[in-house]
Amino acid sequence: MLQKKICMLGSFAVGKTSLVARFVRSIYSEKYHTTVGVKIDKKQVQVEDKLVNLILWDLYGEDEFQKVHMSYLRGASGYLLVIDGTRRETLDKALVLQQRTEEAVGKLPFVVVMNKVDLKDSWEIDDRTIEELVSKGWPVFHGSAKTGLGVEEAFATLAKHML
Amino acid sequence: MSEALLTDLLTALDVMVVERLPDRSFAVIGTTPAWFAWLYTDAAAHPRQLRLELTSPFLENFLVDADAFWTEARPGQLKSGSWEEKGPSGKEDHLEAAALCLGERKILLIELLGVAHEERRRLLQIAREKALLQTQLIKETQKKEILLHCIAHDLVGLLMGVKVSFSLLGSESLTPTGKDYLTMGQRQSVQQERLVNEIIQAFSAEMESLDPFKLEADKAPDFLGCTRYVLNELAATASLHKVNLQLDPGTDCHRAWKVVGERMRLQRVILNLVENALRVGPPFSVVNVSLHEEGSNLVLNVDDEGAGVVAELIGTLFQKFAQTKGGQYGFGLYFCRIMIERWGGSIGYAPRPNRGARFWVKLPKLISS
Repeated sequence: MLQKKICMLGSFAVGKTSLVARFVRSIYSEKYHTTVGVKIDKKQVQVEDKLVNLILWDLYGEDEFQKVHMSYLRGASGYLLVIDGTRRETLDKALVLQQRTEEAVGKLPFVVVMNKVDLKDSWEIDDRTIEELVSKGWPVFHGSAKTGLGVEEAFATLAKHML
Repeated sequence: MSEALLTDLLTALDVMVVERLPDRSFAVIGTTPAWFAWLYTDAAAHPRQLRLELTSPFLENFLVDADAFWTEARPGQLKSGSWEEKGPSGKEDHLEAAALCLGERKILLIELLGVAHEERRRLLQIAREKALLQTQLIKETQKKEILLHCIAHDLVGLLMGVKVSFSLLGSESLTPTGKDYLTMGQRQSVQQERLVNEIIQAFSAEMESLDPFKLEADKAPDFLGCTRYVLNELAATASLHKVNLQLDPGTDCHRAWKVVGERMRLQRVILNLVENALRVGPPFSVVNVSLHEEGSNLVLNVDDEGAGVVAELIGTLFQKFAQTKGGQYGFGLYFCRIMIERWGGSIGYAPRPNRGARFWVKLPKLISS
């Protein structure tokens, strides 16, 4: 069976762990539980006629206390760039992480998940900015780990791009 | 050290110690800790020929770095950072590996992280929750301030209408009773106006008392440091907008730029101004940020090449209800003004000669005495 490594990247508290929990175990917790270190999960998905084992590396969120080791991205086939729509600063962090990732491991397929769409009224990222991301050719998904909206689609699209 | 003592020592430390063999497998030094056998049952069954890369994708990845470390015989240790493993019972454990060289021997330590790791996680949790709360609080305060003043503004607007109507009514010929009613109405509207003003003042006083500014010289922000922080934070956004965001090349980076203020809020003020400049700057334009000295003050200029602010809005740009067409500069400028004035500084706007806007912030220099 094919194995593909996917890394979850983004600032702290954007919902990376929650997106993995939603995707792998269909669960969600309201409580914020910060990730320290790396958590690895697996999930089998069907991509067209192929069965693929996704190895999901949930990396701790980057902030002033912890910088992400780019060596964790070695061997990755793609990554999810997670942004919290309610915090403008997480977009800036995501853009920096994307640049650093590309410098470290070259161009890889990735998708952007604008998480917390269930809180759309509180979003600080406007449509123009999202359109700019799309115009760069970035696949952008509006998602919610809480409701599950867009989560399967984001992972499925990434898996498809990786094959 | 005798082998028996070494074994006892490693057992007491509860650390998995293995040595890289020429065939790329590992051999256990001392005894295998119980937790390792519990987590990696299959691998632990072959203590003289462990295939660690098969135990965990994380270790497999780390061993690439460890091999480079061993080959170059670097001094010290190479740490993997922590990772999480789930044992057969589903319990989550945190581990960390470290590579080191002992002469020619390539040694790998794997440690089960216990209380110290949990304590670190707890501290990070608290720090991040507090960071989220602080950011949220600043944003909420701004929003409430704006909302309150918008409500007050609307009420005052309506009251003005009522007062004008009463005034017009007063010029009509009214019966004595009508005049009495008019006087009552006018008195009520004056009281209403006073009430609205009191609400605004009470809210402002509440904000002041919640958050008084006390100058602490050792914590005074560095204007250049704060500016660099913001430029760094927004570098990627600038690239997204295709705007060249730069610190003016003429800025003297070797002198002290200490000013009166508070670091996080000053960063927020600069962030606000630079974000605005990026938003209005057309693609392939330049946003230039410069610093210079002006007597006892230090001045920051943020220059963009956008359309500038329309003339009729310039006078009210930093007021509570000011907003340019399409909300491009936004309410944040009012927040900037409150902060800067609180620190004894000033903030302003000036159109640039050809095209674009200049927003400037002037703050008193910190005098060390």
